[in-house]
Amino acid sequence: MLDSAAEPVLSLRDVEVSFPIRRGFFAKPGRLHAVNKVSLDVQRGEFISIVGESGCGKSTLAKTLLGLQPATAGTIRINGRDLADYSRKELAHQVQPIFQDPYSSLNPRKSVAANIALPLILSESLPASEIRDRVREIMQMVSLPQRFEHSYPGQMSGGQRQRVAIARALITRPRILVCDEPTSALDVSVQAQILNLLKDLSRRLNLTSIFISHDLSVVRHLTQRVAVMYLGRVVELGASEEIFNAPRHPYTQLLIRSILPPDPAHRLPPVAWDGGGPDPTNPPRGCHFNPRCRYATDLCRTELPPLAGGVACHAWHDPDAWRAAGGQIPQL
Amino acid sequence: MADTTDACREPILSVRNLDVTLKTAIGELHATRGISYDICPGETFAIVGESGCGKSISSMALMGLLPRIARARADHCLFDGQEILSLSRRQLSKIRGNTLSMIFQDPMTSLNPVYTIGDQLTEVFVRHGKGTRAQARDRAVFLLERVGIKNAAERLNAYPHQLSGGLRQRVVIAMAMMCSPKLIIADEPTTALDVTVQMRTLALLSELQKEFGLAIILITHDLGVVASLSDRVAVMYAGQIVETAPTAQLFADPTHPYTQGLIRCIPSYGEPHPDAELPTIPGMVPSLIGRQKGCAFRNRCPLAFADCAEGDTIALRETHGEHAYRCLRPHDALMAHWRGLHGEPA
Repeated sequence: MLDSAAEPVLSLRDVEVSFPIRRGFFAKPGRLHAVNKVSLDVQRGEFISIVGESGCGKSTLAKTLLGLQPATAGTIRINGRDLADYSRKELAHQVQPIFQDPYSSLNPRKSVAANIALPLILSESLPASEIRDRVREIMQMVSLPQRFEHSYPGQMSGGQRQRVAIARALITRPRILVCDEPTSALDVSVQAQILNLLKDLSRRLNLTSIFISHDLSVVRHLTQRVAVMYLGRVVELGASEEIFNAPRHPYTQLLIRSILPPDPAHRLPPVAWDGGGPDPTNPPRGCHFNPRCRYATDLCRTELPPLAGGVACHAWHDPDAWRAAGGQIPQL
Repeated sequence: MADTTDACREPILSVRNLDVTLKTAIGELHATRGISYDICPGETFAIVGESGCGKSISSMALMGLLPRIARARADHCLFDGQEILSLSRRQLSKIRGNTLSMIFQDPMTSLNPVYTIGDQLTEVFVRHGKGTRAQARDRAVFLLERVGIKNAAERLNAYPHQLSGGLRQRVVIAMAMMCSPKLIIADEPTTALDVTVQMRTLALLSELQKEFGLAIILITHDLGVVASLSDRVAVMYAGQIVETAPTAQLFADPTHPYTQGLIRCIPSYGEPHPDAELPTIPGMVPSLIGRQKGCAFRNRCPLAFADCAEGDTIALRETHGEHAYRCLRPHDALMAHWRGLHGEPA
């Protein structure tokens, strides 16, 4: 195999995904940069999260990693080889998805076993008996009783369906799992079961997992590293502990303040409308977060801070100069 | 009577033994069984539970919005002193949107895409005979400003699709406020919103409530939302209220084993342990088809014993104050179990 210890399983360099848009019939066509200059290295066996709110580009990035949405610029390498050089079948053995909604991601007219076996049937020609064995093996691994083999997705609960989706993703023995909000449609008690399962499986199979979520409290329990995205860009990247205990980017701080703990002593802050989400088709000049940021200075309104030292914020790039210019260091 | 929680003398809404059943191809489904609660003017009462527990359908019954296959029965459902289950459609439509409003989860489906925000806001007001179109417009502008929408007068001409999800939900909140309701039923009002918008929308609801003296029924699956907004809470499981208490007390002394499990499996509960497993509630919700016996939670309960399968239902027992729970185990034993879950001496 190609991957050595030093080489990341997944490597993104300045990846961009943009879409042509036209806002009116006579308006000049523009481009929407859903993913903008994202660079990321993921090591084998790592569990990394990508968090952000709707429209930040996290799901587009997931689609790109799955080969469902071509990148418009930059390179994506899987095991050192360019994503574009993989055939679809080869890619199916490297990367598999788990989607949010287990109600729409499974074929309702195929049995559970047929749903799970499909990626295998499409990508390898194996005898029926071996396919059946592989399906049974994987069902056991995700704790689906064998009696469900001939059931249909419609007869199962949300948690069970998500187990089917996980089994289907793992049947080709991929190295990378891309989970796009895998528990958002589930109840909390079931969510915990699925999160435990994902964590356990990735450890046992030494899987590399990319976990995409808007829910920071879920992420905190799960991953070693977190990338926070805002308007197509990674604005903070670091170890889970650092992100949660000492977030630096004002947007990460806002996200963490927005977690509602199950604690009645935690009071809601007074309402302060900060203009809300930005328009991705017309991102603000300078740092994209500046209209919502209470620390923003003229520098932030003119110059886009690159991701350096794990954070894309002028205040942290040169704190001394920032303070000297009258800026405040963002605090949680 | 054990099944009452008399929190105030003159509740704005009083529900006693509400049963909602649905006729299905495989039998009668008991969506709710014996739901009883009182809502005082100006308080927020949260109903929390997982999907299928009956939290939404019990409120749909109050609004007369049940699907055709459903049937609601109750000893009484008094809203503002009036029995509402037996009202005709016409009588109900005089109350709905007027003294009793509703906020749904998805703001896009509760707004009509082909009418402007202004049309929809003023329609409620004029239809309920609260004043002229001009007065309605003034009130709409006032409320839109109050929910934090800038250039309110201009925004009246906007169509729903021109607004972001968070803005739309604020328009829906303003619309619910148009006729100065006494009670708002908010069904997962922030579930479709981004986390940063959710927090502010909840804070807005809480401010409006204090300012206008509204009562709110907050239906949610999220205990974080319950903790931050409600005064009292009822936890529902498989169609029944299994525990009810003032919010602070519920989180301090969660008594029913289901409540305990529900609190523990929230990812933001307690300290994170990146290597430890999240606590879960094993098993699944039982089928609600047919007659239920004993405790509905017994097959998932760590403290279940033989008697839990006996009898028609488990009675709601009071501990202290307004705290009541539906379990055969004594309060002391349940609290010892809760402490044990946290590694404290039982």
